[in-house]
Amino acid sequence: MRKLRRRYVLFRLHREGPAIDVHQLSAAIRKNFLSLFGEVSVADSRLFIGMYNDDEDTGILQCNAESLDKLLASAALITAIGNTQVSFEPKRASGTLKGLQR
Amino acid sequence: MPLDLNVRVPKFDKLTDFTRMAARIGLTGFAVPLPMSNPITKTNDGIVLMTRIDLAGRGAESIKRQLPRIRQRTSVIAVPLSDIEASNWAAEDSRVDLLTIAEPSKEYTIRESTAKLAGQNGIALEVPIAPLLRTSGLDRSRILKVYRESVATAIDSGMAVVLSSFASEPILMRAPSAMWHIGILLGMDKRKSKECVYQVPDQILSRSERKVKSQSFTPGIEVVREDS
Repeated sequence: MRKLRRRYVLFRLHREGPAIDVHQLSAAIRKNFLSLFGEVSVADSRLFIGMYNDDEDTGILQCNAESLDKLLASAALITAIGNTQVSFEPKRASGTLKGLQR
Repeated sequence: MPLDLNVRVPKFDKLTDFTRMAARIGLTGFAVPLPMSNPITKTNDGIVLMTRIDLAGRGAESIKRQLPRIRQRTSVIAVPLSDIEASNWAAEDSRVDLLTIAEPSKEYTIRESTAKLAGQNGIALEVPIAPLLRTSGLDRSRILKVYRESVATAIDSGMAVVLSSFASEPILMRAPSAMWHIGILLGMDKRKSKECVYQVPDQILSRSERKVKSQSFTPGIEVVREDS
């Protein structure tokens, strides 16, 4: 089996309204990704939000390198999660966690 | 310099909220449909504010009448894509900066002939992102169809493309890095999509700065005599 290349993305979630947790965020991205690209793409994406600081609204998501651009496009189109209006901003992407923190 | 050429600030007293958001998400400036004393100004936060007018009217004649009065007072002039005659006329007039897909739900796409004319005159196709944020499912797929077809026609015809937010609230503004990812949804490759966000709006601003100067003339016009 071909080894999957991973990408790590540092992001910031601008919001108006109550704080949201990592599960809500990850579900919202998956839902939008599913709507835009379908079930197979969601399955292949291997999306996982490893770190999310809801005080600073920043986090790191990881995914399959081939799904990266589509995934970030899906996240950019999210306008609200629950009662919170949001604007997703990808900050930086890297192939390693270390590279991202540098 | 990432600029958003279409932010729908409703009133002057809301301007600070939009400026603050622009600074937070990394925009260097944006265009607003509000009357201001100067077509291009800079706020204390270093954000460039430009005036914008969307020329709407019944046909080309109405638009032609409005244009001479506003060119030197406005930094971004946009004409919505609707009527073929008006669109073709606007595509030939280099005083116009943008042809906007204003009503994607009505399925107006840009024609190849219009895109070629616009490309020759340095007029860009503007794709507002807000309709994609407001919709989902089938409605969004209809809008995506119109956008993807228009973007493909524009690129094939040598017309530049600009992505703008059309945000009516600060939270609906999108960071430049988010915008170019949305560009990928519209069928562009990474390089082209980044160009639409980082370079084309900046080029429009520089051209506008020249146009609003009173010494500026449309290409083809020559000063044959000056009265002293």
